[in-house]
Amino acid sequence: MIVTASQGRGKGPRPKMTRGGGIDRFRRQPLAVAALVFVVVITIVCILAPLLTPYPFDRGVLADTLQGPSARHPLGTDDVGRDVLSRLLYGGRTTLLAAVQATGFSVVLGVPAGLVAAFAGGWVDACLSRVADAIMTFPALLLAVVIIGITGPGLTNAMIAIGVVYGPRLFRVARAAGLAVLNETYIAAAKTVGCSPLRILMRHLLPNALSPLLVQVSLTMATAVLAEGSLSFLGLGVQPPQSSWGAVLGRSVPQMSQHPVPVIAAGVLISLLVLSFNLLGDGIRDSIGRERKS
Amino acid sequence: MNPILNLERVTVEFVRQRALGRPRQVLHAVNEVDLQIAPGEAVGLVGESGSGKSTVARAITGLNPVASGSIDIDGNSVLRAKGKDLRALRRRFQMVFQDPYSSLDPSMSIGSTLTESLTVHGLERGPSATERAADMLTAVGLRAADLTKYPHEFSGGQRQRIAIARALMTDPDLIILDEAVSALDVSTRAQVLALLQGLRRDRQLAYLFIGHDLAVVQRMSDRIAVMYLGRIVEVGPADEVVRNPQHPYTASLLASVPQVGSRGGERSAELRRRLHVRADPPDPWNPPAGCAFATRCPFVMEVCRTETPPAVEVASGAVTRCHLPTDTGRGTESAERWNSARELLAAPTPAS
Amino acid sequence: MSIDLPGQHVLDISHLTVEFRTGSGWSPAVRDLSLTIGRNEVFGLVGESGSGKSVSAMSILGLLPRRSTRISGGHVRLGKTDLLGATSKQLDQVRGSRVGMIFQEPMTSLNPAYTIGEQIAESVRRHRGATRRDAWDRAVSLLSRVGIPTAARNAERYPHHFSGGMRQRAMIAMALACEPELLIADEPTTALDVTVQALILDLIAELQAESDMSVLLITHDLAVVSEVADRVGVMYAGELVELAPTADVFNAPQHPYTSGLLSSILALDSTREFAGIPGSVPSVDREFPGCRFADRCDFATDACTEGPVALRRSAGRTHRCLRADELVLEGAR
Repeated sequence: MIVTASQGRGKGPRPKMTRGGGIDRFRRQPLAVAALVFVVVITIVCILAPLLTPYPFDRGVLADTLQGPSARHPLGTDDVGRDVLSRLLYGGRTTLLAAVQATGFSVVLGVPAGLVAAFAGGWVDACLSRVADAIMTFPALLLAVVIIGITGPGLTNAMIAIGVVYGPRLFRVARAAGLAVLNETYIAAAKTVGCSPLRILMRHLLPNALSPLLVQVSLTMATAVLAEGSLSFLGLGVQPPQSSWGAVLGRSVPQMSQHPVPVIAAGVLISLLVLSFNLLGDGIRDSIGRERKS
Repeated sequence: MNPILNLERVTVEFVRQRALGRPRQVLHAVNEVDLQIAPGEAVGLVGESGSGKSTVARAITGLNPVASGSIDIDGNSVLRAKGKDLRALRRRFQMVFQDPYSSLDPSMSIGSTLTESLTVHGLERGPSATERAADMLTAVGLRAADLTKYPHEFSGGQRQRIAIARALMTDPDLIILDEAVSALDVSTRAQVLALLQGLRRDRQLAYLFIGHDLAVVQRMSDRIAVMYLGRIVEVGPADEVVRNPQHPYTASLLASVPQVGSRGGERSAELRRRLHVRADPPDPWNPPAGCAFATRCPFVMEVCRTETPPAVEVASGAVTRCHLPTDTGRGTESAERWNSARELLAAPTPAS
Repeated sequence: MSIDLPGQHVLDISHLTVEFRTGSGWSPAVRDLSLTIGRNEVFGLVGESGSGKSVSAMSILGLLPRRSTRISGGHVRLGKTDLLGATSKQLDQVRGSRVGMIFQEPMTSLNPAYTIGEQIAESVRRHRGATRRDAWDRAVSLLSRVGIPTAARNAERYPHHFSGGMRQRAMIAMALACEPELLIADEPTTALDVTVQALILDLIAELQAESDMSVLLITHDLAVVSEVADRVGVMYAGELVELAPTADVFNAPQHPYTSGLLSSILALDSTREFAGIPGSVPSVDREFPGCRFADRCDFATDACTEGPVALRRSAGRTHRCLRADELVLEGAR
């Protein structure tokens, strides 16, 4: 006897899917909630950096180079005497902003195209899907390095490159979510009521395809944080005296054996942020219940 | 009186593209269907799944493209109309779907769902639209306060009432009810049916009532059309179709309906023995030649397997597509058996 | 026929309570369910959505998801085997060998990657230890027994080649492969057309008559039950509200809910007004001080809402209504 999961799902009391219900389900996942809290706290702290630290991020005191942790400099100073904590606080702004840029770019690129592909079908879908497949064959970091090679070092160009390469992921998710929603009867109902295609796309398709997109946005943020870290670590991202977590990491590695604190701090921050975005994505995914019929 | 809805030789095709090892195939989901509905009339459309009854509804509302034939609403062709004219026509017929759990957009409040049709047709906006929505909601037995709620806050029966209210918003002449009560629990179903009957009386609505429960369709309709594999095989006054079926398929449908308290009843066993279909329906992609029902018909004759039966009008005003009542069929052994089985079916049920 | 002797029951459910995880903890989906099924008996379990009828059947065989459900009371015995205390290995032995199952949607119950014949033969081999050759032959003969034409050829086809009615027949063949003591049929004809439904119901009745198999038929359709069941249990909002021989339930129901359900059914060619039950089925997590049907019941008195109503037995009938003795309720018309 083969018993599939769907039988179990079809039976019993109908799960009530509500937006409130989704939030409830999210709240019951301690890891996801912790991840959300971490992301929010880090964001606020980085935004408030000028209020939280008395030191500038770009000027050091040469007399104070390479100090260990102390009451004045909790995470010590770097090789030109800058306070590492301040560098990390200000650098978080760059890192987060870069991640938002890359993700935002792939959302703008992928989501409308994906929904249109699902909605229009036929050759429109076929063309857009092939373009997406083609872009996906590019290795993201390599493309970013090439673009930097052409335009010179700078984070914005690099993040746009990463955004382009991750666009197809959002395209695929948006297209799949769109196709699922299009099968729902309320789309047919909207057509019979007389809604125009544009209205169906904006008022019915988009809001109902949003949840899986949120998952993907969160996961893309994680990848983008990692990408910024890698590029800046290699010196291809932010340029001195700008700071970012990747830059702090790259700058501190040569002195790692004598002064491990900055390396550890930057590394832990990057890892935690990436982990948080991943956990957040998983959490959102698990709290999306499908409202389903018999 | 002009029919409010007039279908003439409507054909809807589904195409399976050529694939490895398989030629291109065409399925006539709806095959040259003629159907008229007068203003204020309720016509029932019954048949098994795959008979094409829902496709007829989807063709009328433009959800499925029509391959050939014509669909007129009050004398205006729906298939030829475009843009603004089409939208104006659309307003005059609305549809209620089977599944109340997926026919309402979960992300929209009941108020927005109801007023949407007014907005897109440019009829009313703002407070007057909301007021109309509130009126409709009370007309279907809900409260005006429910306008701000979302679909998940309602039970299946209530959602179906909301879907009915949505259909009423544009003041249509015709509502297509596609299995509109099939997904509801029996105890709620009766309430929704009573509501539909009341609305029809009060608003002079015409209904195209699509269903598979013959008892419900009979009660809701003035006339019944029976579909089998894309064709209407019998159409006639509702009571006449149920009491005195003219097509063996209709008769076998009637004999298959489980009846409360009929267990062990000799009459029902006898009916089943005589009228039961023998097998599953044929593959619609490869329909049999001649009469499509021939492969399952207990009264099949030689001619049924080769020639498509003509439409025959019988005394009661019903029209059937069957060889039995024609000159070819009359007097044959099959026709004799068919007539005696029909007499048994028409005989009143002995009180249990 | 039912044999009402202790120890003679094929299935014995007593005081079964199944709970679902909800936002605020656990809430019962099935409350205090007791019923027995005798050898060679067809028992019909009827109820609307949310009545708990399917949950009961799934819990018998441990098919409910463990993370979101739990069985918080009662016992279930199949013959002498305690099913609730059984390990999952023991349950695997029971399923498909001593108990056969068929479900509403045969497509999701059949594996699309294997031919129909392979799936039935697999079941035979696993539980009977037959050779490949014998198992295949048995699969073919089972298919032909359930009315699949040219069974030898159709056994080599895949589920998607079959129509809904043929798939359900294949499911029945699979369920019967090991000659089970009990067949659980959960809405077996709900997804099928009425003509095919009649064929499947006839088939189940025939198969049951020619062996000593018992059948637990779960459905929302009272008419279906009235055609095939020996006894009927009616469930409402997680509780069994009435249990009696079929004719008694339909002619003289003792619970107002049963009576309401019966009057909701529309018979062919009847001229009766539509009569439903006001309101709708409460959700599982709603608690009532007394009778769970009281707020929809025409006959409810203050006593009905004061305290929980226990199942009562009298004169071979079981019901959960305080006023059953004084009420004369309308049956099927």
